Amino acid sequence: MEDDPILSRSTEFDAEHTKRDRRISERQRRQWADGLISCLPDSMGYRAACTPQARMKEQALLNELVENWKANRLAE
Amino acid sequence: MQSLPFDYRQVFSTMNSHSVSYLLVGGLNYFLLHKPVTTQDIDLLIEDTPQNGSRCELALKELKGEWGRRDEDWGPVSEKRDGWLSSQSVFCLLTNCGPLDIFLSIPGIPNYQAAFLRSIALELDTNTSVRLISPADLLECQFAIPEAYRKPERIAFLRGKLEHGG
Repeated sequence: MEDDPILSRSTEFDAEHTKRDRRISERQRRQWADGLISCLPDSMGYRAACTPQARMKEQALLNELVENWKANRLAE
Repeated sequence: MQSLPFDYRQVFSTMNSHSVSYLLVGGLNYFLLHKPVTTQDIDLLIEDTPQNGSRCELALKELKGEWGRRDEDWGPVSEKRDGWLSSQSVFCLLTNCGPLDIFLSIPGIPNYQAAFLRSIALELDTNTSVRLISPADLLECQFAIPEAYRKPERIAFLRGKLEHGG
């Protein structure tokens, strides 16, 4: 049976990533992460998520998830 | 809010200065401990006790938090009555350091103290440290929510990491 070309490409990609990633120190990774996150305010999506309406919508969804989880645990 | 920064270090530092017992969960946990995925808020699970709630309320005042159950109530938390943080399970606030979600309870973590013991301490710089829920607990959080809200990429990554003893 021939190898799946998509799977083989994805394995190659993972290997390539791993090879590169192990050369990055923990400190470098954090610096890069800080740099990335400091750019968040430039994102339209971030700005849209920062309105009281967006926060209340998120809050309603999260409360529903938590309350359902609590109710299921009680029912178990 | 005049500006929209995302200063998680200041949030941790303020929580720490008020001795709030909390754990970092959600996307920023994944971001700091695993992979730099996009995230647009800071999710904190706080220990659900009246004393810790009061300390957290003070910290949120200092962070110039704004919150409301409804549109009409939206405003500075400094104007809320003491104990406002005990009225529901999750609070989605805006602060001068970015959007902040406070969870008193979170799917997948039935026991805060046990999760705290398993958590990982991270020193971001000499002045700022934070405790993050463990990869195993982060994975449990994913499985405890409905499938539609899960993040398959995070699940696969965390599973792989745990299988390899990470």
